[in-house]
Amino acid sequence: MLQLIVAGLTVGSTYALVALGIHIVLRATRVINFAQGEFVILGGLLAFTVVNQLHQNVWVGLLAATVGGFLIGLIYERIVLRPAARISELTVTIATIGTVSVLLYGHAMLWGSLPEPLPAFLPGDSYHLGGVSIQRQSIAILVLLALALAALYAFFERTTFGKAIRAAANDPLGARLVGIDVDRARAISVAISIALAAFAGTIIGPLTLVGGAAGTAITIKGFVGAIVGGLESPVACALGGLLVGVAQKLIEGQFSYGVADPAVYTLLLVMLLLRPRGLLGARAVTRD
Amino acid sequence: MPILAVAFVAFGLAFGGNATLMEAGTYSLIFSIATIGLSVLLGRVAQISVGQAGFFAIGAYAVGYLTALATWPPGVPAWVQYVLATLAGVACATILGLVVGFISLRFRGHYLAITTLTFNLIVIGIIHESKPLGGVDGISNVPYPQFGSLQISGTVTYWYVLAIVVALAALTWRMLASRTGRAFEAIRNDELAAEVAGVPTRRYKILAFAYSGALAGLAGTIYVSYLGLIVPDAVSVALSIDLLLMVVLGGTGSLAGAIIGAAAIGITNVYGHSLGNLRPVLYGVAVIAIVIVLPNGLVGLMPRFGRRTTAAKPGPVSLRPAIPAAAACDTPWLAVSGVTKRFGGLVAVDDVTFTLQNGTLTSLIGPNGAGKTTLFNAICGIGRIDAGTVRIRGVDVARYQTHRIVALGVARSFQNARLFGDMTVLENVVTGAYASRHFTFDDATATLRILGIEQLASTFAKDLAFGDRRRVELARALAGNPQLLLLDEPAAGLNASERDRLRDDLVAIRAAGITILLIEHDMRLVMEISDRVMVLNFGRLIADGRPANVQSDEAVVAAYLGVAS
Amino acid sequence: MFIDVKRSIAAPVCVATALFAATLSAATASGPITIAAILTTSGPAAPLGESEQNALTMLEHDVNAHGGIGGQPIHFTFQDDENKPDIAAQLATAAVAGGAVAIVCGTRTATAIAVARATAASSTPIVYMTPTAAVWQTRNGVAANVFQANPRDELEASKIVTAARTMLHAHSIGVLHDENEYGTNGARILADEAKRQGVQIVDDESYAGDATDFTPQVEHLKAAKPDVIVIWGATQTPALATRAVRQLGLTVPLIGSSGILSEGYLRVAGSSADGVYSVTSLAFTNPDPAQKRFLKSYRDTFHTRPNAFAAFGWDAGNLIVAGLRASKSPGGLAAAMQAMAPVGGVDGTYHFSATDHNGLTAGTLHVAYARNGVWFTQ
Repeated sequence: MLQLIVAGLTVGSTYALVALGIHIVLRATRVINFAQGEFVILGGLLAFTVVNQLHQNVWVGLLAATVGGFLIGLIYERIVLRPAARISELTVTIATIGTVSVLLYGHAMLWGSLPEPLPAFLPGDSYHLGGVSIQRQSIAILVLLALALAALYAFFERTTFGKAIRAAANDPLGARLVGIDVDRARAISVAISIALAAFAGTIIGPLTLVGGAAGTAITIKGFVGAIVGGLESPVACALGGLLVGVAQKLIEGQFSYGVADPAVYTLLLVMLLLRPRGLLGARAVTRD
Repeated sequence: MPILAVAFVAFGLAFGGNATLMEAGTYSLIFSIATIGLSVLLGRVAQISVGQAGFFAIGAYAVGYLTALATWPPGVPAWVQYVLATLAGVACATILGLVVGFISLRFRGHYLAITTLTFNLIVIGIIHESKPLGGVDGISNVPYPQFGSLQISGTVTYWYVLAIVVALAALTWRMLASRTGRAFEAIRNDELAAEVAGVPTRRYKILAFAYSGALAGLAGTIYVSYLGLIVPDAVSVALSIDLLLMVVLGGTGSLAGAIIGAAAIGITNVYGHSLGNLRPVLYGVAVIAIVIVLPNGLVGLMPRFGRRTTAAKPGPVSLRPAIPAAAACDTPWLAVSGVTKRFGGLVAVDDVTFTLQNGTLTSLIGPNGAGKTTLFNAICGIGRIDAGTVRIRGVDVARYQTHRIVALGVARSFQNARLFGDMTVLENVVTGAYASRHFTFDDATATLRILGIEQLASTFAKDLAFGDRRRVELARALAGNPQLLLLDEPAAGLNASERDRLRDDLVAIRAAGITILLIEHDMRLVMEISDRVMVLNFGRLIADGRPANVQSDEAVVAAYLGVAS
Repeated sequence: MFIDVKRSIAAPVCVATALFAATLSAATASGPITIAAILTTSGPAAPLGESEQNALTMLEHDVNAHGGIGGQPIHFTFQDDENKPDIAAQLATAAVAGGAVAIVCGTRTATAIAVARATAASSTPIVYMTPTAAVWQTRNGVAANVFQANPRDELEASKIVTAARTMLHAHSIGVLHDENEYGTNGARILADEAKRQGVQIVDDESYAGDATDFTPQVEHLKAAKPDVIVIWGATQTPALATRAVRQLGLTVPLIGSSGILSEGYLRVAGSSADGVYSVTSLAFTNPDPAQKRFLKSYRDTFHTRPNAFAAFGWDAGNLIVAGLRASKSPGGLAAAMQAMAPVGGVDGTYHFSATDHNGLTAGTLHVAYARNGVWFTQ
């Protein structure tokens, strides 16, 4: 059982980072980025290229993927999200769905089929503690997740720029009136979110085959995490993602593998219907 | 649209011998059944679904299972099996569409997209695990439909599906041109205003989902007996996304667009095949570009894509018609008792009680934020009240949805006139009479004439000048033949002459016996025409009586009016 | 109105003209003999399709270098079916219309079934490469134009269970398989075979093609305490599964289906692949002359060892070539293939008959094992 929890935390870290990314984009643009999972895959591929084509070590790959994700996020906001937002929210939703198609097949076009994992971050055998085997990569993943959360917290809570971004997301008009460049704030938010996605794709890279069509499932599971945790708070989103990962593994452990996915999706629907503010949020108070 | 039908017929005749083209055409037509449904859902009712493949799967698996795997009692001919299987598939898909529609009422925009996507994933997950449905292997060896000696395979399928598509397109066209279509249009433009105009929005949204689900299911039934097999991979989220792309590409909301989009992708899949992965990348780029730059899709490129105009022919010029007289009634039209409405910790309406006298004009005044609009909302069933009762003609409307309250004979206008921008003034007014099935375009013209704005009949609501917007909203409210009229700041922003005209209209409406409750800040207007004035401050009624008395009431003066200078 | 009509039919007209031109060029008899190859070269099954394509390309050079068929060269036209049955069916129809005499297809089973149905009317022979016999052995009898170039699941299962029982002295087997049709059917047939040989299947686990974690499956297997674990999968996901099995401390021997017999598997599984067994027709260590030539030729051309799928691809193409040589006219190609004398391929000798469109026997399989990143056969 403990072993399953370790597995769940490992898998859940990806969901946590995706949930976080969705949360940030949601705050900034008020729309869910359906392509978030595809950017996760893209991150892994970028790191793979840096490691295999440019022969760098995997930490450089991680950095390159994260920075690359940030830049791509800026472009994405500028040429897809912003023009679509001028028309309507539904337009943005459709545009992000179109992006899924572009990325999903674009990956395959540019990288072909590359069923290979990244090299491990911390080479060496797994640790064995009390009957439970913990891969070094799992530890690396959790540590990196914590670091990412800490960095985001520091940025959004402690720096002026971060606070400005939050203000712009909360009340664009008010933010403009105090001189905040709302467009730039939004762009940076999206860029951070995509960078997070690429980061997630890279740290899970050594455990999986980079590339592939898992993007949509990752997006949905990340979204489940965000809903379970409660969309309002970033930390809650991340915790929600971890919770979803653990829950998934426990269900698979208890029953069979195939039941877990439908169970998680049904959980999503139930959550959306009954507690849209998440387990950690207040009961929704709707204004007309 | 008929042009498209002719084109497909010509295509079929010309290339009947070319199996490849016929096959591509057949698949295009099969998918266009599904896209027609989705186009209506997305384009006409503005509900997004990224889960149509789930309905498609139900239709496909139903026919696949019932015609290939299930054992029938001996003697049942193959064509009966096929027809029953198809009906079963479509029925199941429709029922599921109703369920999804019902669930989707809670959601908008991207949440709705996620919900429908999740539904698709759940359906696939269940299919994967289901041994009777073949699990991962799916169902193969599905026979061609056989009607006597006619086997529906090869080229014959093309004509078979074409006939179905034409029939469906005609059916959908008729539906959209009818009251249902106007209801859809109203919901898409402004759901709240539609509800207030008497359109049962929830019912229609569920209907739209059921319709699109049924069509997707039907497409699935034909697909499986043409290809001969169905596997879970074929009905994954990728198909849902593809259908969405087809609809957007062709032109959301347009029937011709749905078919063109399906055909474009169907043909490119075969002939552009060597482009490999570049194809779907281009589709995605095209969708993003179209949705931003060319909202009408490919269909919008065609020179003569215009809306069917519903220009009313101006009837014979007659004297200014009168407002229909209100029915005599003993029960008070509006009786509010102890109504309280809270938002979290804020009490917006605090224990308000009053009863209106039928046929009078009452003004509700008070500072901004006093709760006046909230009170209106409470009366109309927009949002639940926390305590108290609202009785409309004696009926306790506590759990009523807005359109049901409206159907009792209530009409309401909004602070910012909420019109259906993409509809003409005439269509706006006709929608206002939704509850009355006998209201015609001529009646609507008459209503416009009452308010002296019949010349605006063919103007799109979004193109109206500010002052005209309020009059059109008033006309729409009157179209429903209301006995109780709630107007929220009708004079706001009007210039002097418009104001005078409004005053005259209100007097005329009262003269016809209609009970009016007015929220206003224009004190001159209030004093001029009100029979009674109520003052609301911080959610409480602090004064209630004749205009002159209220005007000099100390509390009112302190809270709102100020001393006359 | 006139403009609308033009726009509506402009696209089909252009497209039809292009096709017409293509058809004209294909119809000239003095050109090469066209054999369509509808493979899956994108998506998760891409490595399989690519290996098959490599082998067919090699075969084409080989045959043409030796004079083709009665002086006429052959040519394989490669197309990607994207693992979608409806695309595969449409490509098959187009191929037949374009003059292809036969089709190599079926990197995955669903596409094979679709192509079989699409070619049933024209009785164009097709050769597919998955282990399920169900494509030619249908509910309605033997499909006359469908042939299989793959040792069937039954043969592999038999070899695996026998090896587990006699070589590894196992009494119980735990199964870990791909959740696609290859893995699910293989696991099912393995279970049947195990029952026949008196070996108990104590657990059956599956994993998704894009799985990143296998902990629940391995934990279940550990609890069931099998003597041997059989992995039935293809592409590199079984390699990740192998890593997980070893990493979580399960040390019992592993036997994989022929789907894991590839360089990619070894590369991804790394040290956890040491000592893993598999079954194959390719005798790496002691190949017969035909296999030796194939192995060398593939290595020289593509600088890597061939895997099982390359062997299937070669055999599929070779069967069609043999059929062309044996038949008097392309019209009777399917019948000729069924009636022709046994054909030697890389996977063994194929002997078709009216009731057997697979034609391989169990003797053609060897047990293989991995050591230090290389596959050996015993």
